[in-house]
Amino acid sequence: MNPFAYARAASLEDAVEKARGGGLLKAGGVDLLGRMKRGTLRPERLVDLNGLVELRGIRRDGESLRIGALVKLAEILESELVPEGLGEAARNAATPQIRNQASLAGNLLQSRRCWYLHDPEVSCEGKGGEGCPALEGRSEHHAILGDRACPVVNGSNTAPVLCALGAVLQVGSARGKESGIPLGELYGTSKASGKEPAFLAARLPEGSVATGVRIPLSGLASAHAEIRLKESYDWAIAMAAAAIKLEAGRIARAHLYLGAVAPVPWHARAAEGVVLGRKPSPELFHKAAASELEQARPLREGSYKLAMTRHVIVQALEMASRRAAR
Amino acid sequence: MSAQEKKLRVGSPLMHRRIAATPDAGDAPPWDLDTRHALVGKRIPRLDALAKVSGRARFPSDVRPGDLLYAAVLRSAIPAGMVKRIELGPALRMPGVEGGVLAKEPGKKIRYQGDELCAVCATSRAAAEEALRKVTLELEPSEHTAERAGEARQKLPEADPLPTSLAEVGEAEGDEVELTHVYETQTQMHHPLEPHGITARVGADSSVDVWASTQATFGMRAGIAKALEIPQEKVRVHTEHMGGGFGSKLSPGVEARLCALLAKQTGKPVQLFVDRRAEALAVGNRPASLQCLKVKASKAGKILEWSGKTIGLTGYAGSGRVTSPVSFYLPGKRARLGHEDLRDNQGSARAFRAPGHPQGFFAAESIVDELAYRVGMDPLEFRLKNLAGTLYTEQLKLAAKEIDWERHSNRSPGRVSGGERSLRGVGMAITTWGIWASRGTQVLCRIHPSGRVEVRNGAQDIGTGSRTVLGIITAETLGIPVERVDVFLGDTKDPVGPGSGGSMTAASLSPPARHAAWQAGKELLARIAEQAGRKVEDLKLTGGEVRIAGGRKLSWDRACAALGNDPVEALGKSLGRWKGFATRVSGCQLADVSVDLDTGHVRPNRIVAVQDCGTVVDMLTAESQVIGGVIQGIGYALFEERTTDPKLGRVMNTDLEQYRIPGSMEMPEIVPVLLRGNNGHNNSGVAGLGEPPTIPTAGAIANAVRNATGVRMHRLPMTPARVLEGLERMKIGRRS
Repeated sequence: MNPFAYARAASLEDAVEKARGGGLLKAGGVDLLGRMKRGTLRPERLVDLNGLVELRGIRRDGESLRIGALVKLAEILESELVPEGLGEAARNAATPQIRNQASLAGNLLQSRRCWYLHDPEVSCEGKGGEGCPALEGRSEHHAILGDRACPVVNGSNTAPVLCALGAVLQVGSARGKESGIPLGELYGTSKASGKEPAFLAARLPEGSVATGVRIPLSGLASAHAEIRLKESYDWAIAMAAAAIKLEAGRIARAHLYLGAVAPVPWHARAAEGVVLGRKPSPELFHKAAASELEQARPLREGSYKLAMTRHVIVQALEMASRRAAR
Repeated sequence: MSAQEKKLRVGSPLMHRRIAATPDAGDAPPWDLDTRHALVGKRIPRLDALAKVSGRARFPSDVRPGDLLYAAVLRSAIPAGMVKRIELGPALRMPGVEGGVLAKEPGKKIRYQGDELCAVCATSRAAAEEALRKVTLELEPSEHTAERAGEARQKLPEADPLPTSLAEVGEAEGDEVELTHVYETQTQMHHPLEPHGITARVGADSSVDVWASTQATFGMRAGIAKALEIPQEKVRVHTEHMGGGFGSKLSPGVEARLCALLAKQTGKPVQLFVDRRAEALAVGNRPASLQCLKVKASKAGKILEWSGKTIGLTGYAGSGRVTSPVSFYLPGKRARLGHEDLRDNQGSARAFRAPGHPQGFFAAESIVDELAYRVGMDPLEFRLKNLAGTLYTEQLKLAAKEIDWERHSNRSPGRVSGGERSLRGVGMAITTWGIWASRGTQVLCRIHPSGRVEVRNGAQDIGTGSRTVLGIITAETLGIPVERVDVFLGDTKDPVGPGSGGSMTAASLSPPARHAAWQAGKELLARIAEQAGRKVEDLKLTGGEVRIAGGRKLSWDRACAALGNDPVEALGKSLGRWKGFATRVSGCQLADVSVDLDTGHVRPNRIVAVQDCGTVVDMLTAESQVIGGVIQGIGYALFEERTTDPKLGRVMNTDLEQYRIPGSMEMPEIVPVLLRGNNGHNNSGVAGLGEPPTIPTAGAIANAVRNATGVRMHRLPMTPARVLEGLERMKIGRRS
């Protein structure tokens, strides 16, 4: 790990000021320190946000719920205020130790995953080099949906369910102005490569800091399902999060996002189209999953992820519609 | 004194025999199955349990002598090539850096990704790692052979085509059934929690102290002496505790040599512990194998012929040989077995908990199991028939009862009757291991006037409970509580002891420990007899008291206090070598698993492990050994696999996020069944236990998957992707 300077931010303005020119913001530090240890990130300065009380707390605010950027995953899974699906997503992440340390904003903005990308000794398109070794190489954990030029996956546990719930990322700037970016838009298209390094799950406006997440409370029932190779401490092979509203026994609103299968939280529009206006049933959900996965193109070693993804789509839709019927 | 013959009953409670033993003069009377022990075989917590769980136990990587420097190693990023240029100058000028040594001179070959190039030491680990970035380095890459599994497959005979329906794997026609199967096992990493390394300090008189995370203190001493070109007696190795090795810490590695050289160069203590990435690349592994087996059985259920060709994929060095239980299934007949090792540009094979066995037993137990189904016989009955007359049959029956084979074994593998999305089954496999001990081991026993007993040996406790074994043997022999015994291990100034390899630490330490305690006890009685003006024959040490003929008694404390200024001291040796019960231990495991038909996940529900190990010294640590073996076996069966990119020649999963070892949520109920036996051979009858319980787990789980689903797994680990492939091929549990 490179030598670096460390500063504590006294305010949002102070954080932006201190991070200017080579500084990086540190919340929980889980993803950040991992990258620094591997040597794919060598910041000159870390600016610690943990003194900023305004970035903490979960509170109901009129017709929405506001969760501070620094709120730990452990606080989310223990909270009675958060939608069920979000609690499930937080509970499935990593280990108790990591959940005690990891912040919500860090979880949403963590670097995308690929073992070639995170290996500092391998050159690839995602890091500004050429080509993708995964295409012909070891690809069991790579994307099966979206752009294939750089098949990294977004591994955030909380992103799919927050996208499905229509959550908005709140962003503060040095001038004290707060603005909102809907999460569904934040992550952009399915492309990972291009001018941006593939690590970045999303880019915030210059000179801004994520301050929290606002979830509209619009009567959607949510659920998060995921599958891992092992239960204790592992990354998901596939995740699905659904938010559903029923009217007269039929699905009136359906939002479905997938995680760990594409460079972005994947908006499963085809599956949504299949279930809208229909009565919930296992057959319907299998059909929805099949229709979404028609466009999937797994790499050489990734076809098993199709079965896994099908499984979590059905599970998430089943759980959410059961909750919506309550 | 002439040797006196003694009649003993030895073996397992399941099967035993009477033997005549001739103990050496002066040795403690041998224990046997009829001995009533006060402590041996009871459940006694480790003597160092509190120190370990409270963090007080000092590991070699915890040692911090004053002025300590920290070293880091530069490793090759390419798998094959040559060092063209390597200069330490710029690194040595970095802040905090105090020394540097080359591991490879220009012109030397690069053998694998992670090959050591040089090391520097500095006032902090961070400073040393930063300095490595400044080393002037030019490597000339050459073509590599990182992945030769494809080539290995070409060298094997063709296997039977893989079945595509349940109909093909039922009872076969004809008088005989012959199967030709190819099995593949992966490269498994050791990943001990404490990484490889040492802390070294060279004294003014050129004597060297080394705090080493090693499983062979005396081997480490020899290695350091050789590296520094000094006599062995100038080196003192300290390994009070160490954090695991599984075979990968039997000999001092490059990292130990580099550290010793840096300590000599700087004149300051230097610590070099490698990082997790190096643990994955550079300090050994269980090599991958490909095994083609051809086995024939009669329809009556008797195995008739067995031949095999096996290939080990060893990395740049080491042995990839596999061992199978064929000699138990085909007693008295010769199996035709051929083996070949293929070298490649990857980290080398090293000894790994039962080298060669888990891979060989997975393949052999799989094909034996498949033969049972094909001759139309229950897999348990098939094994009982082919292993008749051995301890195995008794152990299998016991384990079958414990797991309730009658109830849980699946009579119609692969059949989905209701709407269930998972299938359940039970599988089994046997295990064996040789009984070995080092004959040179000696143990020192001192009885102090304070009443405390000091026991010393220079060998390490690799974490299995050797310290506790010495305490219990000593306390049992002297008839005192184990709390009275202080055991000191891991200092090479003390009497010589074994390396922890081949499951021989407890078997090597127990006989001399009992001999030493016995001799020390006799000496204590002699001294008291002299003071009391009695003959030594009139005194007896029993129940922690000295009893004098005529009714007088002395408590242990009063007896010891009578020693005045002079403690009693005895050096125990490894005596006895009469014919015992067996030269190998036997065991078996039965696994009850569920297989998820949608996701391919294999989830063990319960694993019963019956294991023979001669005398059980401490039931608690012995059970812990068996449970640990099963856990490592579950990792081998279902999760662990080194993933290499064949084109780049790079290992992709060099951390414990991507190299998956099972955690608490992956654990089934594990039921160790240890029967209190005694193997004979010497005064204590202890046989090794470290290795055998990790051998059969993968085979038992694979056979349980077969029993549940009808799918025969040919490759480890049995990941969801591979299980789904098998279910798909056999059309099991398809959704209509």
